[in-house]
Amino acid sequence: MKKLLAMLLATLMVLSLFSVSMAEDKSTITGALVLAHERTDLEVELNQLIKDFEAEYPGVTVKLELLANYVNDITLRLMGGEAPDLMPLSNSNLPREDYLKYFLPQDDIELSTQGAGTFTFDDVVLGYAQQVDYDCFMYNKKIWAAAGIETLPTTLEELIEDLEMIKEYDPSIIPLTSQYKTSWAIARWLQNHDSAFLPGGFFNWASETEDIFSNELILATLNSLREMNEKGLLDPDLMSSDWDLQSSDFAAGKIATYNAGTYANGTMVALGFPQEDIGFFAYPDPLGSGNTAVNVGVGDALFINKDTKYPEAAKAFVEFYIRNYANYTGQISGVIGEPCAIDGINTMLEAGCSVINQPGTTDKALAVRKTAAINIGTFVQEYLIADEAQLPGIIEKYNAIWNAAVAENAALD
Amino acid sequence: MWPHIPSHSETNEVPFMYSMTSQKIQRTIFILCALIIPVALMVTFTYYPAVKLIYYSFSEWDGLRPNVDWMGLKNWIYLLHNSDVFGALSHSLYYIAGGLVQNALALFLAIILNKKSMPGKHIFRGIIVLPFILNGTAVSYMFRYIYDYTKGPLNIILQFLGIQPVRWLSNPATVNWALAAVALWRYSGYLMVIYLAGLQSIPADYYEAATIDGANSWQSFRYITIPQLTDVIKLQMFLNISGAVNVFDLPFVITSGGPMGSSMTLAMRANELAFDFNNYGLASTYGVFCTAVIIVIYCLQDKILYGKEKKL
Repeated sequence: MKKLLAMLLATLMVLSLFSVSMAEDKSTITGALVLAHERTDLEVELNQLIKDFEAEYPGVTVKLELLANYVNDITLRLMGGEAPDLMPLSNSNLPREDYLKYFLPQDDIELSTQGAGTFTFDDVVLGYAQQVDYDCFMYNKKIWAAAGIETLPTTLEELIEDLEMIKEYDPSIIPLTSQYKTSWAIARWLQNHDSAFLPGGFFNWASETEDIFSNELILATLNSLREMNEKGLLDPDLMSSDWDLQSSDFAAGKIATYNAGTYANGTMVALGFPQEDIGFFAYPDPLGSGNTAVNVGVGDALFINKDTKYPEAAKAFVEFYIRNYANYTGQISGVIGEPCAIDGINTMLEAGCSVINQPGTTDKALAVRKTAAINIGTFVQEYLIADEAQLPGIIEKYNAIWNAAVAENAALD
Repeated sequence: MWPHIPSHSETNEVPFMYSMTSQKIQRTIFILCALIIPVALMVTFTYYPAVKLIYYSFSEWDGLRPNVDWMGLKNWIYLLHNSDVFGALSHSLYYIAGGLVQNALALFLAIILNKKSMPGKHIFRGIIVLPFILNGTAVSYMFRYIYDYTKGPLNIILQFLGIQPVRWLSNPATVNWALAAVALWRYSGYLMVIYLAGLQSIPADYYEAATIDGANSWQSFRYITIPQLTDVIKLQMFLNISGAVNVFDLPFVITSGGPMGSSMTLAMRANELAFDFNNYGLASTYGVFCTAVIIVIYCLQDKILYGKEKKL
């Protein structure tokens, strides 16, 4: 008995020493880090995440720097050697070879992510996606139910019918916001919606294709959008509709539907909209097959500046951040094993839509896009409000520019 | 023994020459010293970037790589064959037109507020200059709200008066006028200050002599004020043209260049090319093109408005 007690005591002592040494490990890491971020709408949540990290790592302080013109500022600061220690970026913000030049490898951080969530450049891991996003429609469940809509749409025709029911139910509610003025937001109709039905995603497909703007699928989407506008199902004044204003209006219950990624969920909740009233439904096939699909997009990864003075502290923060970012900000974690806490998204996925894991944008697609210098959002804006007679000219103009860019980069792999 | 150095009292000639040479050298050294810093600053921050901009306009550069690829005339050929460039340039005409009204208004206000008998003129000057002091982005956001079709106070007032609300920013026919009106509101005070300075430099004797000769107010204005303000007007016109061609903040914040690109300006397109498409080479071409356009319009204007006077 004595021996048993002695062994138990010894085991407990060893365990306690081990735990103390673990705690000491965390406290021995020191540093003063600067985290730049573009989510100006998530300041409170990000500061809470930082506060909890600092409690776990008392030797490390993290200063949050929120930037409105984020990608441009960070790009310029990287060039000038003035970049912060930590910065989220996508895997296409910079030319591929520059990632190895500017960022510290993160091979020694043990994280397993879904799909393309691990950002690898020449077999070197440089980052892990902070979240995964599903591109889909987001809707106000209460308004849709009150309008008498019982089943979610699987074609664009059904979507238009549902929007008409909402307009009939309450004309003061905007059935579907276009976010017309924000070009990246209105470009989602092609770059995200149609992307789910195009092989390789919109830009990869487009870099191999001529006359993309007169493609049957693209035109089906655009013409449905025009029909919605003509029937008064979009914003009453398109130029007054943008991402910032319409997010607030959705959260205030003035908008019924939104073409948004699940990333917008956190914004709405942060604006005070109840999580349980937010629903999601997958993109209907524009060609009317009845199939629905969502794109799985990986969010930005948190990169570490190669010139950071505190690499250990930065890596500790990356691990903490990637494991917790989704929970703090109302997103979906890209880390395998982390469950999705948002019921609306689970319901959408259980309804049986296709889940498309989009590959990264190829170098050729990036080159074609740069050569063409076409803002897809501007094209959609133009198509949406042009007179019927102007449409062939608009399509011809954009096709000519795009075809020239495809031809110029045809030799690229 | 020390060598003999003639004193000033021994000869007048040598010290005078010595003194003149010394003064010249001192003067030259002083001028060089006084110039070296401003010239260095000007070369570093004005001429060097300008020359670089011209160099980049013939190249391809993504803004990140250290190497810049020479492209010859490719960017210029693209620019001159792109109809959107001239479309964007045509949008600047609205601001130039607005600028002419702005100048007339500024001169009118300056004349009124230059009168000694005008009560409270300092307060009015402050109020009129205030819009120029306000932050440009804040002004743009304010007018975005004012022009809002559904919630904007402008349309609410129109509806109150029984007039149909206007789609100020959604209609390609009205959007540039609406934006030019914001520029007019914002810069009139600034132009007024320049006109005031010009008016205050005209000697009062001219007006007194004209009054004695029986000239009325209009004649004084036409034959004294306008000729005396010629240089000021030329400056204002230059500011008007360069401001109109380079306008960026107002359309960027208020309309993002829409609808249908109908308020897109050259500066906005250059910004889009540089920062959305990492094409700094082509963006530089747009920048140089803007400068060339300003110079051409200014020279034309100078020739049309003042060519005859020069001949006289």
